[in-house]
Amino acid sequence: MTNELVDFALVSVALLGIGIYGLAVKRNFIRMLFAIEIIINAANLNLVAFARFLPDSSGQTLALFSIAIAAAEVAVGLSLIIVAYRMYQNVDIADFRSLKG
Amino acid sequence: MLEITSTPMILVAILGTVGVALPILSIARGERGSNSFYAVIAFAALAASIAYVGYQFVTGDIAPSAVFSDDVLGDDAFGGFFAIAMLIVALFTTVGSFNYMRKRNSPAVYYSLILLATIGMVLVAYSTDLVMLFVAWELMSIPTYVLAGFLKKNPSSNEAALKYFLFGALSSAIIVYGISLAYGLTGSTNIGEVVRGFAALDASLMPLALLSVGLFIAGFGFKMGLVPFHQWLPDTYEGAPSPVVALLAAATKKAGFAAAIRVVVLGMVALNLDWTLALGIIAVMTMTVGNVAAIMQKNISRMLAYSSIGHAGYILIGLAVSPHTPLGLQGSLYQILNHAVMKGAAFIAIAGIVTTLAVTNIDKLAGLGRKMPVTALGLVLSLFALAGIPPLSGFWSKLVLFGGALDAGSALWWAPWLAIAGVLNSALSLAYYGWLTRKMYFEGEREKRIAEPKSIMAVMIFASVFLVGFGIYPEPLIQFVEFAAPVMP
Amino acid sequence: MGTATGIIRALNSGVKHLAIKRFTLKYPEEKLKFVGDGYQFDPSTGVGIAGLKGRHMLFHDHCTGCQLCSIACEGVAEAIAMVKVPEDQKQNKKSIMPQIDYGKCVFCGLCVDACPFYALYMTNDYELSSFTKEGLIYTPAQLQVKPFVSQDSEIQITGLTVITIGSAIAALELRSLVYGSIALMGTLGGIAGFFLLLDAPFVALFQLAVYVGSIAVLILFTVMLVKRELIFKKIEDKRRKLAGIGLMLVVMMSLGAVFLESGVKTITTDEPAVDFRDIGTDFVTYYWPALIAMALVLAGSVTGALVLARREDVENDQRTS
Repeated sequence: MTNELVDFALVSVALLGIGIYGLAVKRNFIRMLFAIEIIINAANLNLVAFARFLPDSSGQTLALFSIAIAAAEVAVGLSLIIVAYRMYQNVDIADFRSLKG
Repeated sequence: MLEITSTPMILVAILGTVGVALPILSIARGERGSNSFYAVIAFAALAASIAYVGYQFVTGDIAPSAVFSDDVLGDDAFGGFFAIAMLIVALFTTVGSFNYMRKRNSPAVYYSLILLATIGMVLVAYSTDLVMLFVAWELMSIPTYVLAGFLKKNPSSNEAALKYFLFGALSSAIIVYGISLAYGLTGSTNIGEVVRGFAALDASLMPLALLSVGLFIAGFGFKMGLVPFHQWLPDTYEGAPSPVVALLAAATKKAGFAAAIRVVVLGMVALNLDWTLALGIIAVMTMTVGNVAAIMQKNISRMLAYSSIGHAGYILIGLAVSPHTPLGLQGSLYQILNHAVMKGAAFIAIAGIVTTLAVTNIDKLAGLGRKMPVTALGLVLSLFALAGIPPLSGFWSKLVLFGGALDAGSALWWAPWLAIAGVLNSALSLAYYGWLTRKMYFEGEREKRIAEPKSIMAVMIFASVFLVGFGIYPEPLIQFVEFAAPVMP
Repeated sequence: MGTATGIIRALNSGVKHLAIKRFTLKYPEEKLKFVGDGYQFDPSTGVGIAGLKGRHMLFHDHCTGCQLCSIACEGVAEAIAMVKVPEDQKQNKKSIMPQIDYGKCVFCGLCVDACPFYALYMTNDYELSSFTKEGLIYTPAQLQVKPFVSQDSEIQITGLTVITIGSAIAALELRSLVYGSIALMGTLGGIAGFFLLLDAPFVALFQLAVYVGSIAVLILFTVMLVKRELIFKKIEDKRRKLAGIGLMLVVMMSLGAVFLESGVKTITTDEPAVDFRDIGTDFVTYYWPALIAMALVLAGSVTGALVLARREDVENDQRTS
């Protein structure tokens, strides 16, 4: 390995920052879902990078778990937004105002 | 390798099999099955699980709280304690849904998701490995996202679910990031080895270890409803179906605390940090914000949601003082068990009120004490127990908690202030609980008594007996908590 | 030999080269891959260490100014001259060190063999071109600097970083949600590339199959279900956007600083990557309860998502009870 661990860690930090920016600024549910996926990917990148440099296999195992669970999470999130879309014809959560606050 | 006959795996076998089998059964029966058929099956599975764990406690056939273990799950009294607390709440939810879910669609999936979420929470409490913790955390969260949005025709249920989903997904992403750092620094995912690795960490890597613990606090804090991370909680508790809210408020929150005790508290002890002050500040902020906001609410679900935030603050006092006194964790566990029963019963009472009267506005609850005497009595008893009024069980747990804070006063100069803040907040909470009670009993015209749902009455009677019984005779619970509380290293 | 067979043979030889691997490199986009750090000679054992004979590297704290390298070069290239250096080294009383003229050097490596103090060896740097003759003369101070040899993997990591981060920003900022979700696929694919670079081919394939293959496609289908005007709709508060950018910079700077300041910075490894079969062993031994829990997660999410997404108004007509 000629690359250093810190190269990967910095990419991961950058992705984390972009994800947090997306969650803070966007109000479109699908975009916010993108942002969450980006954060999860940043964490996975970190995991696999650490696993390579230790070297140890359990980081890759956790990354696999994390990818599969993200799939389950996305499925539920998308079905929730489909239900919302049927009610409001909209995917912008700033326009959903049945609860105050 | 973990034994297949260990307690958590047997619980997985019981609840997991029934949870997966229910939807299949409903398809096999042509989706014509009535709500109560599935509810009875779910009830039986939960009752069998609680009997199994309870039997082990009664016979003493259970390992004392070890906190660490070489395996992914630690079969110890700490996990068993949380398993009992969560299974009680799940039982409440199942029984409380008998009437709530009548004439609603897909009851089989509803009960199946409750069982799956319950097994997730139980596994969180038993987890001694970060990977297992993460998977169990998701097993707890994902079914509850669906449950919160289960009323598809109801916009507020859907909005509640969307908010809960966004914050929940963010919290699990943050937890994975925290796990990745902890793993990278120590080379293991076993919590025991991570804590040992943290203790022997190179000084230059210390900031990363701190960052990892901070991410854990944030991730778990979202579920626990600690103050900077609590924004989703009132909306979700107001909009989601009330029995599900009982599960969220009384059980998933406690799973957050179980995870926090296993990871954060011990991790920080290993890092040898002066972290107690930070947790103390969060505790005071959390309870103050929760109780002050609760006073201003017009909706009873929302009021209880804020009171739930406040209670997370009380429980956190115990975690904050835990390195200096054994009473800290004991008080937290005691409060967790009591809060599970009290909050569970309160939200089930709301579910009963919603099914029969379809109101949640506090002004419309006038005269409830004459309309639905049993539900109102159960609600009032749980509210007073939440406030910590003497002969009820909630009093003793607060006594242990605040006593722990005073006890730690010799080591931490500010710890007694936590107790004072707690007592002041309890007084504050008595104000809105009292106001609600006055509305129910001393206002309104001469209402006639209406038929109360039997299942709700069953929960109310159980909760009342529990709260009053263990309030007058708290000895067994105190022993139970002393046995289950882990000893700080 | 007729014209036809000649044409066919010519075509055949051309076509064959489409299938076989190219022998040349597309310099400068692709660079040579090196094994080791270049040619060295260990005087204590008298064994040379094989490697590329490129630009020299001089260790000032080892050089005694003995001139053996310069003598070895005499009659070969006459490229080494001994010059005065301003610094005072304990072992170098005369304060002279070699200066090498790469206009003359033939890269034979005899000077490295001649050095009895391990002060001189050769590196992988072969890109020494200069516009002037004087630019080819390397002073002892220049020879002291370790050359930056850009390696293949470094070019890959730069490219992947640009793709991943660029498409992550695009996924959030593109006006159309459809293009946004396609950009998200780019991010996820870029992460799969990183996994490959980190010798985790199994995770990379899993990432491609699950993330790019199903999650991104699922999102794309959902996006296409919603109305056209919503795809382009974008309500954005200017002030919140600025605050968001500020938050992002704070997160990046602070976490980046934590990483850069900590001991992580210098971690590299020469150990071989873990065999991906170890992952399978992990799954069925240590992590088996987690695997069962994950099966329950998937079961719960599938039934939950189905119940939520099902349209009840349609279904009620079909119901008999």
